Amino acid sequence: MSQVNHHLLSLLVALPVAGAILVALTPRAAATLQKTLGLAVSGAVLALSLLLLPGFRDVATMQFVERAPWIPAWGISYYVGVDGLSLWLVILSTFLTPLALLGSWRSIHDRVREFVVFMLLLEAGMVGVFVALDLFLFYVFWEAMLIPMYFLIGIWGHERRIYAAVKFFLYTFAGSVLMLVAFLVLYKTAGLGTFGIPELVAAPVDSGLQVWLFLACALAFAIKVPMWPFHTWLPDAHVEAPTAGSVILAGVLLKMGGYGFLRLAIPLFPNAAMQFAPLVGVLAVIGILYGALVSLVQPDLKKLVAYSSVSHLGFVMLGIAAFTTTGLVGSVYQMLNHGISTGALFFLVGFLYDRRHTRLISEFGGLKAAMPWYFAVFLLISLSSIAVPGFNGFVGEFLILMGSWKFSPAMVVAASIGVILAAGYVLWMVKRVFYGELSNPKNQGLPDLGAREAFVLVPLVVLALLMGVASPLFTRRIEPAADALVRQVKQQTQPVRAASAAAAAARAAATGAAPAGVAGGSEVRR
Amino acid sequence: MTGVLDLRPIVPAVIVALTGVFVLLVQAFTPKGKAAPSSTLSVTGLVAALLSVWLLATGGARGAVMAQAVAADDFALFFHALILSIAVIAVLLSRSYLEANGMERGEHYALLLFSVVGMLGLVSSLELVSLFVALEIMSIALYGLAGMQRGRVQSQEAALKYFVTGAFSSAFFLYGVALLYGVSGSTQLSRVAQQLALLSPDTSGLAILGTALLLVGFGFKIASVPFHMWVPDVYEGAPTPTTAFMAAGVKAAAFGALLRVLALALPGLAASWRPLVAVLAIVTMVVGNLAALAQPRLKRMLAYSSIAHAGYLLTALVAAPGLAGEAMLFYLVGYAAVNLGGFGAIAALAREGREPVRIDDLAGLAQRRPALAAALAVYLVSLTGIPLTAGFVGKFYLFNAAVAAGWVTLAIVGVVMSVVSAYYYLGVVVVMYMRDPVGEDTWAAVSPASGFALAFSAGVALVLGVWPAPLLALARIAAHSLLSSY
Repeated sequence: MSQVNHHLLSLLVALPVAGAILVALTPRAAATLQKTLGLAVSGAVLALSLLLLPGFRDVATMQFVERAPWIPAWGISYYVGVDGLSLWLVILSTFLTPLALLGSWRSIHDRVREFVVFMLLLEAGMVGVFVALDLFLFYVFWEAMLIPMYFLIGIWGHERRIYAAVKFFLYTFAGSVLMLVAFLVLYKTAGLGTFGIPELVAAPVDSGLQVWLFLACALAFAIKVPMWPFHTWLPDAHVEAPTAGSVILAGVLLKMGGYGFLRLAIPLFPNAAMQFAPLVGVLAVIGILYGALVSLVQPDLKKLVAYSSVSHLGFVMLGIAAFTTTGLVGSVYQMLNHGISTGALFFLVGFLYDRRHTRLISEFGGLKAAMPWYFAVFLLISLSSIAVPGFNGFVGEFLILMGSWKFSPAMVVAASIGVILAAGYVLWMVKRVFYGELSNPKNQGLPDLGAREAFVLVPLVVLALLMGVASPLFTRRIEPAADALVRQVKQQTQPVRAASAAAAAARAAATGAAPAGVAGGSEVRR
Repeated sequence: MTGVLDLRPIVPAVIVALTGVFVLLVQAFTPKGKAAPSSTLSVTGLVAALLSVWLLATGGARGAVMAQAVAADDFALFFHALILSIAVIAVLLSRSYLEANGMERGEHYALLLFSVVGMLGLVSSLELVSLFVALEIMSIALYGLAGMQRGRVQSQEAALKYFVTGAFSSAFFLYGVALLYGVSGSTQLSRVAQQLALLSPDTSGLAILGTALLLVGFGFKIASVPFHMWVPDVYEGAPTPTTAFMAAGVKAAAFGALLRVLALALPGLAASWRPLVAVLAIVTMVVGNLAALAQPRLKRMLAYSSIAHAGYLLTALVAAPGLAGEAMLFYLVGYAAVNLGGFGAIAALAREGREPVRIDDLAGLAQRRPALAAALAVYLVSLTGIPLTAGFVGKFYLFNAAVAAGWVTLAIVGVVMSVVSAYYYLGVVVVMYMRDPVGEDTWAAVSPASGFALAFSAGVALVLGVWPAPLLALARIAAHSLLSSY
């Protein structure tokens, strides 16, 4: 048992890869075998990931740490660990993958082997991103994961799948390459001879250089989140992806953006992060309102859910920008909520699409009568999505808004309008789809949720409720890490600020020149 | 070793040369109607040469020098192993292609082996005249190789074009050598460096001109912009296995020689050639990648991509000596593997004189040749520079060298151009995986020899991406030997 515990995180990454290799070796026609293997492997990964919970202590330090030299010549190591910021995101990834496989059991019948292989590789990549503690390792997982997602969208997607796949890939790839240069510059400037994140965090670089490096990393993460105005890849990718792809995209991949800010951009470049926090906050609020307003006018169910993600992730970014312990806990919590509620919504839309091969809201109406159980689940998930008290969404948004009040009351007020708009677009959609006359003859006699579909949805509904009423179960594990991050950044920014201000004042006094803004900004590309 | 000529450094080259002669003789004595075992003989000879490299590297001959002109230092041995391996793969890819095109003749293999001799000389010469001779041995054999497909006009055109531009670039190279000799009084690389250090300001202009002319000569061989005009036509026109061999082998040998000349003979002029190389790097990356975007033909796209990769390699050269050597050595290995694979995959599909020409010809390949499509996807992903492939670690290394030397701009141009390249590389993946096959399946089944060569290349690309440390260590040792003086 202790052996398992020592290598738990490695197992979580290696097991899906091993499973993928195994599935790749099966004969092409054995579709049921491949699906079963995929489900078994991802189920085992989920079970293993739950072993993290009993061993996890509610402290701020990294746990389940493993470190082994990988490319010693450059100080690159295989270095993994989890803390409160990543713990739940790891479990979210391992939780959604088997559900996604099960949810697309029927809808994927073409090239099943490749589908299962890519899903498992994707899982390994997602877990890898959340546990990596070495910049190189992080980047490897971050980018390598694009490939399976690209294939998932491009092969099994809908009509415009190729366009969406290429756009998704180029957008995210373009965003992240500058981050790589930033890592190299950081590596050289810090001069520690290591890519280990904790070491680099402990030795912040000059605040002028931080601005450039922060911007390079923030671009990568902002595209992934996606923050307005970098969101345009999202509707295409989400809508064109197959159900499993949309669930993983919305459920997990988007969180990597927010997580990237928390794990890398902010702790590595605290001064720059604090400097840009107001801008991030403003973009977040624009995203909240923009996403909500665009959702209001979507005629397509899947597009509506996709744009609502822009709005929900805006809340996450607002909490991060506010940078209080409460706000950060809210942000992490909201990431989990969004994974559950939006993941469930994509499943629901996908199940409906399986039956009717359309997602246009106008094609439906009065479904309540035809599919009562489906309606019940849809309504519960909708309530979770619009943050009704008693559901998970409420806890997350409340914490974020409360944590952001000191940061900017105006932003909180604007974001609250987003909460109201969310109720508007979701409930209006529910009304148009489920209430009224069952007038469209094609909708008569639609089968209600089957056992497999129910099996996918019930865990999500249960979690949405559990996280709504028993939030301390989850937040108490997040809080120490969030608190430590806030304290670290406060500690690193205050003295440096004072010192650089003093230095600037001294220079101004000595030369009589105009006061320098940010010291050292021109040193970057010498 | 005073007074005695130490012949050990040229043993691998001699083995390869003798094999080439033997291949021709065996063909001459094979009765009509029977096929000469040319490819088997070639592989045997190349493997024997590889074995001799291994013996040189592990035995007492490591670092031996013949007549102050040819060295068997770690740098040369590293490149020997690389070039010989490239040749083995190229020979394995050749057979089925030659048969499919009715050009199964021993001359193909003999010329290939002779050009390998030139390449081996190129990376081990310590002296400018031997370097020039090696360059010509390599090039003249390649002119012949490019024109082997006599029935095809494009092949003839390729040979002629390659010959004319090649001769032109040789003239530049020779003029550069003459100027450096005139200034320094020696063609010995290390002596040139010593003499250049003592130059007065009025003669240093000549030395810089000589350096610039050498760079032009090398520019043609490594296919950097603006000396790249011949590349698309020649790569497209030459028989595909020859293209694979040129793309991987010539680039490796020419970069090896360039690195040695710059590091050994011209470190004193670094302040002059460094900005020049930086400009060449940027222009090459930008032009190569943007031009590749617009290519609907597979071999032409890969030709422009090879130009673009010359640009990436040049970014590290500004950091020479420093990290440049090891970064370039590592990159060249991964690059060679995926280029052999890329062109090799096209060659492996050749049947009855036809091969995939347009990218669209690969539509639905993933459904008809899943293994080949997967291998080709690995090469393309590696060329793009996505993690877990050799291409990523290689680019990381190159750009790290540039950043460490303070040239952040070069790294930024490099990564941005990588994004551009993703569009055309993944375009091929889109066609293979996301389109349905069209019409009858007219392509050949992959032969065992080609299959092995392609699987090996894909394996190299993946293994170096996941576990690069051992090769990195070797590259570092090899690069360091370059800096120890002679």
